[in-house]
Amino acid sequence: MPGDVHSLTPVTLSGTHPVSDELLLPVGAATGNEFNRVRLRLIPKACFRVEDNHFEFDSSFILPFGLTFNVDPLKKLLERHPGSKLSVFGHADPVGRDDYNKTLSGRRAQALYALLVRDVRLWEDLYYDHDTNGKDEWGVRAVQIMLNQVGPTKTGNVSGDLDEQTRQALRDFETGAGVAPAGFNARREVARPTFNRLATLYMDRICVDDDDKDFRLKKTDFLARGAGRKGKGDFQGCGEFNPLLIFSREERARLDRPENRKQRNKENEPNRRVMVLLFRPGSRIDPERWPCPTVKEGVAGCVKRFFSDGERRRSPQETRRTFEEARDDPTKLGTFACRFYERLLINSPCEQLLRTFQIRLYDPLGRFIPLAPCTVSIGERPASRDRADPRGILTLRDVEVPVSCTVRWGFPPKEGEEPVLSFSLDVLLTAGVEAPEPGKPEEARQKLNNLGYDGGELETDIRDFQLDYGHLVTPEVPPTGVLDDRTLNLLREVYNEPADDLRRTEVKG
Amino acid sequence: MPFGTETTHTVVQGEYISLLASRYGFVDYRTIWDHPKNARLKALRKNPSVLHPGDEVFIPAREPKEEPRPTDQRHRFQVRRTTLRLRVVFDEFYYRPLDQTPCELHLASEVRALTTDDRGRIDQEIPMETQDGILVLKPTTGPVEHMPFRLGVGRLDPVEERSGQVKRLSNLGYYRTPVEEFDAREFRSAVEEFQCDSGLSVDGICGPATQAKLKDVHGC
Repeated sequence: MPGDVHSLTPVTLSGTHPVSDELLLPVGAATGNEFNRVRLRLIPKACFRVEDNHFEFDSSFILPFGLTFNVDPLKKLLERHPGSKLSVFGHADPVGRDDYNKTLSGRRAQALYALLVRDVRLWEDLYYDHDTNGKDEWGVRAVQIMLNQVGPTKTGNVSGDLDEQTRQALRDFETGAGVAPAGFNARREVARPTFNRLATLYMDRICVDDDDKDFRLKKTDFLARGAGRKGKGDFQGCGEFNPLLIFSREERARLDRPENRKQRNKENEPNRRVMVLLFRPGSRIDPERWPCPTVKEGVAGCVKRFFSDGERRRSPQETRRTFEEARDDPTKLGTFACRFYERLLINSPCEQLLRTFQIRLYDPLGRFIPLAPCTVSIGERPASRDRADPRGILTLRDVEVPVSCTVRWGFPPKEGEEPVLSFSLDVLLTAGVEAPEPGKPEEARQKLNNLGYDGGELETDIRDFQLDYGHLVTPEVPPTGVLDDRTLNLLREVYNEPADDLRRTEVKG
Repeated sequence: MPFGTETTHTVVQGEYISLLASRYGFVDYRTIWDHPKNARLKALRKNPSVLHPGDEVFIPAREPKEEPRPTDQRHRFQVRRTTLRLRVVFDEFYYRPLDQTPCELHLASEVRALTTDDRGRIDQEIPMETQDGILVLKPTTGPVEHMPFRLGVGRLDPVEERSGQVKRLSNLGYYRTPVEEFDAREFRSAVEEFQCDSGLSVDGICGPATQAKLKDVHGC
């Protein structure tokens, strides 16, 4: 049975694996000269999962969540399990080619490893060497994001548009950092000394604990002690071989249609993850004997480790399948093709699908409240204290639906003071399929309710909504109390705004 | 058992020839093991310490030894005993033997402080009737947690039997469910992983070739 989850944030998940009992060692007493061989197991004691949304889409570039990389849960795990030896496993979703996905997942693992040990050379490798069919090119956008975190001037846009303001921000950085003012070259790349300096500062800026203290590991904290070629044993990509969720054949066919790509990517999100395993203190391996191929190698080494029915495991079947269902029911087909990985993770609390809800917390004027303090009670669970992120978004994870949920929130208090939770909202959390049919009054009712308009008569609530938001569009939507198309569209816009692209990083300052 | 009676003993879990020899009053297990009536068993099991529950062992009659000696003198009778040895070699997955590693052997009557040799081995003489004990590894480098193992001396079943396969796979770190419980899925996964690590073709079936390899890698 899986162990305990310790920490659940919008971007990471950490937990401890179940402990095994004292081992029985059946031995044949020797009368001749035979020995009994006992091999110490490779035991992962804890796990730290970094979610897809900590990375740039389809890329290995690590984004801050809020302002930093969410490394605090890993730090706490290491405090709990001092001396653990780590190894990083990247995973892609089952879309696209095997070798491409192995490369991308490996590059994500490399990026995370490099961040943790501050090996900026490994980032240089990712930045300049991107032979990945044009994908995973860090490009101008990565430079913009880094400049905005650590540079003296901002770039304005972070969309990868190489405009004059971005060039100026780079010049200012190069001047301030004392490196040659090389600017961008014809391939829209910055010079190596510039990248090195910029990436070093960015790593130091984002890889901090919750108290803003620097957090880094040593290469000797990893399984192969950094002794393997190309990081063998310390970080690797599992490609798309170990998904947590596999669509049914029928779903897969539907989601593969071009118009459904967005939904497919969304549903595949849990499959895209990077797992850090903490092995028993002092564990060590000879990298040359380690089963996983390096990031630079092809998929052959992975395929060699497949279950004998590995291909069937990772392929769509009649019904949608999950890793957990198969784990809990021996008659069901597993979803991980790699036997080596499944054997390490079979009881891991970090390998599970989590249903996630995000609620954006606003003040009565419709402005979201960054870092809003709140309490959340879900179903029968006791109320727990929580906090919204810098964008006012509260993320609830691991929620069984449908369930009712009460959130009370307020403004961040002054230092040393208790927060006053002035606002409250009751919501019914349901799975997406149970959402009301679009265009019906039920849709408006539900959205108005979640936005805090739950006075009673639909007409009154619509009028209140129009009064609050009608001026945001031109021409204004007048307070008629009638649910016309423009009002409904405005309602949808206001309502859906929290679901806007979280990948667009907040610019500091 | 009185002198001059022979019998057939049906093996239960944990019994091995030396233990039976000791229990039936023989100083040398070979009196039983090499007896012609046990020839088939010997050919089947090969190792006198690796029997399977249900195996039938012929126990020959004991011959009283007569040695006339004058009375009123002290006489020394030297008993020739065959020894029973506990031989274990420790190693780590995808690494090398756990050499020069301190460990403790807890037996019913004593605790011995030991150190593995440069090939990760311990080799200890233990009392003839030993059936259990505890072996605690106390590495100072490498895996630094103390690891206790509950010894089941004589509980290693023949490799031809599924329980013997499970136990060897467990000792080698492949089968992770307690050996007393049979978990078909874990067994298959363990067999496949062992086959893969050993360069055998991977089919999850523990047939003769896999059994032979298992015995070879485990050591007995």
